[in-house]
Amino acid sequence: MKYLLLFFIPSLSFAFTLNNSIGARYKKDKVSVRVASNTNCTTAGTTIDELEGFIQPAIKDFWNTVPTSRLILEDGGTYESSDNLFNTGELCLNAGCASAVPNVTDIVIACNTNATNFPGASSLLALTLPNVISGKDIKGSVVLINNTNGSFGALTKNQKIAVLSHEIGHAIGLGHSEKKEALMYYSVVPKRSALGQDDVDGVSYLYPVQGDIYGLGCFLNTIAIVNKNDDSDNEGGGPGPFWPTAFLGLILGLSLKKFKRST
Amino acid sequence: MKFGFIKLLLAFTVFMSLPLTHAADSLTQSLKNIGFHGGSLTEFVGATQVDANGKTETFHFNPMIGFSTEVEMVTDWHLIPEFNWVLPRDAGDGISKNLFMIRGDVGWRYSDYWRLRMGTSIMVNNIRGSGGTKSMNNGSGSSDFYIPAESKTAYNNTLDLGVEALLDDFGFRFQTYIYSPLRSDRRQYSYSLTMSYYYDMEKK
Repeated sequence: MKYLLLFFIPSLSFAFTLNNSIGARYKKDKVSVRVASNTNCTTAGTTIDELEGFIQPAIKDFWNTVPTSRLILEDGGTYESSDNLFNTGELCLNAGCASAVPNVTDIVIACNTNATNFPGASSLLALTLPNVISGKDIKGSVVLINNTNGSFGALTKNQKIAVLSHEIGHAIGLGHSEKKEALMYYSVVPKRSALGQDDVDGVSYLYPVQGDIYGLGCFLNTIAIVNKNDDSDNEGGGPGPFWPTAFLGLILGLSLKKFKRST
Repeated sequence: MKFGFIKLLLAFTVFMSLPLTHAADSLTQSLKNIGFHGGSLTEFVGATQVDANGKTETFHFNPMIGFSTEVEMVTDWHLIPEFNWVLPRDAGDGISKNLFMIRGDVGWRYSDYWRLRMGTSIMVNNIRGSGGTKSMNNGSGSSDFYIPAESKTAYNNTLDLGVEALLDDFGFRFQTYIYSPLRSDRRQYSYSLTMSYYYDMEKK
């Protein structure tokens, strides 16, 4: 028995966190990631085309790889906008102040020169805030690349993709992790090839999949598992495992019956 | 949550009972043994980063225990319902993870010492946190971040393939669990290494 108890000893590790106290997340399954069409990224050392090119790997190689999460991020291309506040507005991080950056739906990326967003001409590469929240439902988030200096442009391509993916992690509701292997670690690491376990846990916590069948999702759209703590968790979550599993059992049963007759 | 587990249990019953109705003339004649399992599960091989230099997961010790039974369908073919529990993992900061595996395999004993297994699992993956805040580096100072305060559960079906070496009452098994096998962008592989003791119902 004493050996069994050893398994329960804490691992002295750090875990994922959220960027808001209410556990807000997108209610829908599919969220677009787009780049503001009028953004100017000259000082940051990048371009709209380059940022658009980073969206696909930033979502495909990271957040979209988690089978225990229902969230599917999509490359939405360009977000048509003529509002210069994407480039210059303050993204207010503190409660009580009004954000000047326009409200958006889903996730929009822009480059921003407002020094208040990036204090001390700083080492901050980017800043993100879910800025449209209704109850526990995130409606929209803005990702701002630091356009006050060339820090972002000095990164390698893979590091830029990792930075964008990290910011998308904030946009969907995650906070930082203290594990260096996690994408949500606060700093750039020498090589980023995949999500860390903390990231997987975090996105699975915020967006738990409800009865995914071999990746086909809701091809039998019937009963969803009800979480009494929060009914809204079942939004778009596909079927519960009852009917698909019963269906598989039926197929297996009929196959065995046929197999048995033939032997 | 409770309602969900009841449905899961019901689904598992349906899943296992349909084949069982065709398995043999009587359950008592076909019930071969009860197995007790202990081992380790490695999740999402090659798909999670484990250090700052890009190295990805190959093996992780996540202790698991379980039990199973076997029903003979025809000679050398068995239906193997199984339940496994990956012991609670403390992810830190008051967050704990629990994974339950409700499984069903068809096993083919193709030689005295080897058995191939194929089946499916319902993976019940629960993450819960105790709430609170944690001050962490935000790149230019520090900010408060929030520790999860709820319990959330993800349910997945996996396609499972395994091979087992059998020696007297013991078995040594390598089993893979394929998440989203029909969807390449989300397909992930977990595997377990287990040692089993089989209590033979016929012999004893």
